[in-house]
Amino acid sequence: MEYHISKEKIYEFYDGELTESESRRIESHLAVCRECKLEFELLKEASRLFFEKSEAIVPPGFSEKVMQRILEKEEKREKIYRGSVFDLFGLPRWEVLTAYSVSFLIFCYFTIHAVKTKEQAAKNPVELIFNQEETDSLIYSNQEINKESLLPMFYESESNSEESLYDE
Amino acid sequence: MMKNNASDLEIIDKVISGDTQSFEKMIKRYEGKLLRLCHSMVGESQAEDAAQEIFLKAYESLGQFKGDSSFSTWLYRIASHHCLNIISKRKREKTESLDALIEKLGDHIPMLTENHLVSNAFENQQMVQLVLDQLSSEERIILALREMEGLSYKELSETFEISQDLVKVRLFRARKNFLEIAKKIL
Repeated sequence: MEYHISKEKIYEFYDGELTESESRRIESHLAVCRECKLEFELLKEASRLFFEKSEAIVPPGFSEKVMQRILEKEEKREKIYRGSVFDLFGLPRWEVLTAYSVSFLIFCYFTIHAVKTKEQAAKNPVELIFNQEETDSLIYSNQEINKESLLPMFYESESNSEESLYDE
Repeated sequence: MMKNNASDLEIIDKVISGDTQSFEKMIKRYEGKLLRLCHSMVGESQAEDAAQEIFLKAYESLGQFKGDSSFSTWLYRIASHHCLNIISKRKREKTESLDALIEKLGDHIPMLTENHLVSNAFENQQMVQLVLDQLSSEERIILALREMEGLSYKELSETFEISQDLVKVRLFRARKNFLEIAKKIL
């Protein structure tokens, strides 16, 4: 027989990964080609010999050991959580985390706002001076108003006192 | 190969919801397959520890299981990574020559070829281990999953996250090497 099937195809046939028509074609070929049949039988025998499914030896208590490890890890995680600041009010972790996150964001917002305000003030010192002068002028004008309001009273009192001296 | 049946997903949902104890059902369902795979990959002495670690990793990553492949395929993916890590970390013992291997296997071979039913599961696994030790770790894992666990090309492709064509290539190479060893023994 001159024509031979490739080893890849033989393996795929063995694995049952070929289409029905391809499988039929290879089956027919194996029935007449000694060389290809030998290759197929070798694979089949070696697989049977070395990989024949046997029940795995499961050590006694295997699943219990795994569960114990899992529960120990869970307990440890819970202890860490319980001792932490996240354990406020016994709320679930995600709610406390959300509350902390929101508080942090608000804190960040006000901090940034305060910093920006300071930066703006530092950028415009001249305006401050003008503002100060304005403030001073207001103060002085207040004083003048007070002086004026005071003066008549002063003069009145003086005049009154003179009159009283000469008034007999 | 077990498909992703409703009970697997139901158990996963329960565990994610907080019913940790339900995970034991998954362990009991897959412990045999996983131990067999670990035995063939990392040897008898480390198989139990490896299998425990794999289940632990599976439990911790359960939230990441999306259900687009079967749970067993997903578990095998974790197992492959873990076993390959163990193999790459540990110092390789001097690889036995094939002649030394045949000498070691000597008495086992007539017993296994004459007796179609493998009576001693332990000895069979030991023999498989000795032969698989001759292969590279990548060849070993793909052969073990295909031959021992019966994963299809599609499932192998999902496990290793490679194309089916690449699965065929790797499997072919692994078998070619494996058969060269087997020819000398049989």
